[in-house]
Amino acid sequence: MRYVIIGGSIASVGAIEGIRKFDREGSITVISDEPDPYYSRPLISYYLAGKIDRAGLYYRKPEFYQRNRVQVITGKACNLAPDGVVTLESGEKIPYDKLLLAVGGTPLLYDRLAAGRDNVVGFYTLEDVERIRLQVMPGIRVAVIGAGLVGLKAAEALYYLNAKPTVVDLAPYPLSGILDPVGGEMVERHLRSKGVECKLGMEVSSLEGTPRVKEVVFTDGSHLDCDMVIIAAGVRPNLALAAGTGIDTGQGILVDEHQETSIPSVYAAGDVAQAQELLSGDKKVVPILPLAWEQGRIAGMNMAGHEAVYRGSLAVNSVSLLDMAIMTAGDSRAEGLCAVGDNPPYYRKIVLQDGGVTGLIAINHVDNMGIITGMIRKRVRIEGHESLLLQPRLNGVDVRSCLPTAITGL
Amino acid sequence: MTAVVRRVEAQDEYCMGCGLCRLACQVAHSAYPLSIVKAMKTGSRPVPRMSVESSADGMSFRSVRCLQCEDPECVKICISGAATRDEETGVVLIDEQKCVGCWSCVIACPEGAIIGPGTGRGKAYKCDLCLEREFPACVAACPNRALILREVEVVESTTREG
Repeated sequence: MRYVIIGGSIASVGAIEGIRKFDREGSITVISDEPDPYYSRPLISYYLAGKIDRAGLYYRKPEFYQRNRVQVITGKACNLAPDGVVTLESGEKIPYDKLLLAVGGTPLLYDRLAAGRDNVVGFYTLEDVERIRLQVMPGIRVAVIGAGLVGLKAAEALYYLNAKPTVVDLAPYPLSGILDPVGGEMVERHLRSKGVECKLGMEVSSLEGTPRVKEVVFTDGSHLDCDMVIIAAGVRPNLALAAGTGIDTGQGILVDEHQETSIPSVYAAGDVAQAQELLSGDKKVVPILPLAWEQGRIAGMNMAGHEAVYRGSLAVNSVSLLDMAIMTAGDSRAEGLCAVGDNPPYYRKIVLQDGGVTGLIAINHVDNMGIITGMIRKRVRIEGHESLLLQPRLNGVDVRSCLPTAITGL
Repeated sequence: MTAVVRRVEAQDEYCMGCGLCRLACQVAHSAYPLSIVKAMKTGSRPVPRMSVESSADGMSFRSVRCLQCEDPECVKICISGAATRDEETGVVLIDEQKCVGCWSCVIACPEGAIIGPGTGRGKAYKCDLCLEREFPACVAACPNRALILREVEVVESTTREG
């Protein structure tokens, strides 16, 4: 069996592990356009901040490919023939029996804003961070466009490097994709208290200055002087390779519960894939690392002939931001029951639907929060005992004694 | 595929809440595993890898520890690759060197068995089953046999994946 995986990041790692669980013999070829595959993208901010070294970026040990007998080709796949051949830009043709598209995403806004500019950088790849490292110095003013998890972690790293980051976003508060206004404003106050500026509810109209951007101009006419711009406004799936092949796409590449696309023997996983979501049952692109690995692993097992079913994407996020612990799970932005406190700021929200927990926000006092995530996954009913979940220190004994269903013994 | 692996079984009805398991765990994971005094009084206190929770009324207790899941949520969610499951022993480990303290494992673990945010150390810790010892320190310390070491046969799951 010839397995070919396009992409070398986390979904690719999951697929290799999934394949090798059931097939020790087949050949695995990874085609990656990044020279350093399988580093963890969420760790690039830690690397930038100097909290880990380059070796610490890797999601698996250095001997990972060797141990799993993976052949790696550094190059870019430019054409996919559904009858079983991938063509590289170099002209090389690679035949496959089972193919995985783990081609990830492209940073939004980057192409439009970065063209021809030296000091506009994305925040998605190791190469991006190496470019930032060459330019960053104490006191440098950096506009970070995007106040999501990636943008805020970039701003945090810059803060630790004594640079002066300003976080810019169209949304009125940070982390608007996963937090509600109460949580978002708490994060904003925290950022400001540390000296990280925020320009929120502001739409970028243009970046002025060539070849070096000198200011960000907003649609209301105001502007922000800067020495560097980091674009961290999210990613969109890379659909170019799937285009014209007959593979069904929506926002991403549509996959079934086996991570298989509409073309048999062609699979997709990770930031490019649009797979079923756990709570809504709809197909959605949820570009976070754990789901990339999980989807890749499911794809790999199925590619190796072992049926495995994806349990559905549940958005679960945890980030420590300038020593503030922020966690969300499920439908975290919906209306729910809340508890708020000060010193340190504390926020907990649980979202309930039909008597079951479907969403969580926890800011500080985050110990034990996985118990609530487990309840979301298993759709545990909690009626009458909701207040237990809002206690700063979640008491597992009391919570469990109230539950009609055991959530232990996975 | 089946494998015989080590597990600690908690019989919470026998737990008196004395906390000796937790203390023994701290000492075992300190720089001075043979001396409780040195372990607790030298430098910063060692972090226990398990805990005993008490109900709000203080009358019932629960040993909270990693169940060494076969398909662990902490391993799936870990962004650094620090959390791994050893295929041979079935033990789930967090590599302290690799952990970046993002607490993803804390929001993923349905047992609440990961220790970290409250410690101020910036690292996640969990039970490693004291593999190098004849008995896990907590089991050896329990005066009422509420914690028992078992050798259990696990069928390496292939159908429940995902």
